[in-house]
Amino acid sequence: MFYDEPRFLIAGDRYISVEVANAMNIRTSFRVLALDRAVKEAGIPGLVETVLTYRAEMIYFDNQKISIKDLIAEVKKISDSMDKVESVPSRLIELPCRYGGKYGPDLEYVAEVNKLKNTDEAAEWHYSAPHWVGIVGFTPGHPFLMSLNPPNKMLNAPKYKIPRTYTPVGTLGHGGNITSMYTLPSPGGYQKIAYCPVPIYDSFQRLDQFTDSPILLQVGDRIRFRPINDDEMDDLRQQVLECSYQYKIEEETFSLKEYLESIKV
Amino acid sequence: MSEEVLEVLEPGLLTSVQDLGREGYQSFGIPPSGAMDSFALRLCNLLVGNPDGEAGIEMTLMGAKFKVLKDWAISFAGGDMPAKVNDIPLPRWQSTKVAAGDVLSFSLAKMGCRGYLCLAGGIDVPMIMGSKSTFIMGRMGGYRGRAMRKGDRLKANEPSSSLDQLAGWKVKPDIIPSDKLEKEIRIVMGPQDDYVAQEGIDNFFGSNWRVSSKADRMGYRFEGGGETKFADKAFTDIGGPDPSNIIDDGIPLGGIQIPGGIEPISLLVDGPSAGGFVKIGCVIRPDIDRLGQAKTGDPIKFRQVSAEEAAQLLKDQLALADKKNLVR
Repeated sequence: MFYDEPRFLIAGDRYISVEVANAMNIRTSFRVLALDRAVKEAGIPGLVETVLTYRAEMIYFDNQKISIKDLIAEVKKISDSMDKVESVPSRLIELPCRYGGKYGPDLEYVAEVNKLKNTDEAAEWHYSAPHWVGIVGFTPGHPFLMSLNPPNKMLNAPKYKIPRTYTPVGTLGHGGNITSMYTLPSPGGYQKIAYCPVPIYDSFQRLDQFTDSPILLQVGDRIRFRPINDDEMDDLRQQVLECSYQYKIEEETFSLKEYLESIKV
Repeated sequence: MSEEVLEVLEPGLLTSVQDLGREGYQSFGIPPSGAMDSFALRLCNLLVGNPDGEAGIEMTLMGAKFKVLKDWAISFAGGDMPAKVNDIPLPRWQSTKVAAGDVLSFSLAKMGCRGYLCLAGGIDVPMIMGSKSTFIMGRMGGYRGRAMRKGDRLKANEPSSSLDQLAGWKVKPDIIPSDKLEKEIRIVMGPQDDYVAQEGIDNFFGSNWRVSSKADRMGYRFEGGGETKFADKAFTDIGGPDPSNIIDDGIPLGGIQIPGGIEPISLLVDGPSAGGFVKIGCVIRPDIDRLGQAKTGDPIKFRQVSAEEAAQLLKDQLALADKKNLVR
């Protein structure tokens, strides 16, 4: 799964991509996150920002301050001398969501392709373990999540053959073994399984949680989805309108080793 | 103190407030946004004595019409969008003094695609995440997070000196970018050029491309070249159902995807930060500005340069945006 050595790919005149694996899962994401922390701590001159995905760290650098050759040498040095990272700080963020019905019209199909009894069981597979945030991107604050359930309890579903042209904001979509959350009205190909009435992107920064940034999530966070009914949905929507909704966020540490042991059958 | 300087009478096709863009938030899915032709914006700001990085007004293809609310110094640069102050032509690549009651009108671009209008003192809109740029799709930044509409009033901050001192500057003719339609766009290869067969790479650089009708601030598509053949590696790697699919990675500004091997698309200032398509290469920074002046149907050729050459080309370009290249 992992390469013996990360691959240092030229990704343009001002970008390199440090690719750790040709796969995407919690372990590859964890390694990318660990590398990213080490790279940022090193304070390389000319490093502007990084974009993390499950399998690679893309580094955007100022080519007037450091040459691509020197940057690759610096990052390689960091990568080679990095200690093995066992755990990282990871917030556990609770997000209420309504599964199935008109808010998740494709949950029935997802239950079917996973050979589950009904939508309740499919929902339980989804909310019974937190989800790992491995990418925030595509559109603002849009996460690509992976369930922390053992592999035999992860939903898997094909994407739409022909993407729909519109997905309402707040929709939880599921494609392959990835859950995403739509933050802008946009086209989409993931199966609509649920709806979250509280925002994870607030461009006008209306809710307290968004005072410093319009984006709630970052790579390395975990989300716990809490199933709600229609009454609670109405109540939560009202709280969002009044900007009084309070997010439940716990600052924790996530140990990859402990997690991998815990899901061993 | 800031003053209301312009009122939008007609917004044109797509008019928005843009500076040099927002850095540091791509890892949250917030694209840089900013001027599609940052070089034109830099010169435009210089002309009215504004600091580098100040915001201006970007107009697209069909310009806007404004009423001047207060005597002010303005500058106009970028694409050839014939412009007038009342009935008198407004010179391009120059700063000009305008008076309250004047009407500024910018018409259909004859050459190029984007015109820039700067106000002495800069535009007074809030800084959102370090930038005044509008990210229209994300409803963020600029003037209320959106494109300009009729009736909007733009404020400017206090100019750096008197209007008479700020007006009448011109960019030296040899500094002004060419309006020529045919463009050679320079590319640094990677990160997945090894997924493309040599035949596909030869086709990419050998073909005469045209900018397709799908060309906006998110990305430009190119058509008219042949199909891109993928290498064996693209078929054995598990990225998705098509050889052009890969496991998602970051997308650089200017990165060129070739979904299905058909139409290359260069992702630009409002584009996505990550995705799952092979990227053959990336448009170099100075040529993103030149691409920003290309419009549907314009002929494009691609040429390969190294990352080191590209860094030198950017250095050369940045050196041109200097006060010493203005004359009166």
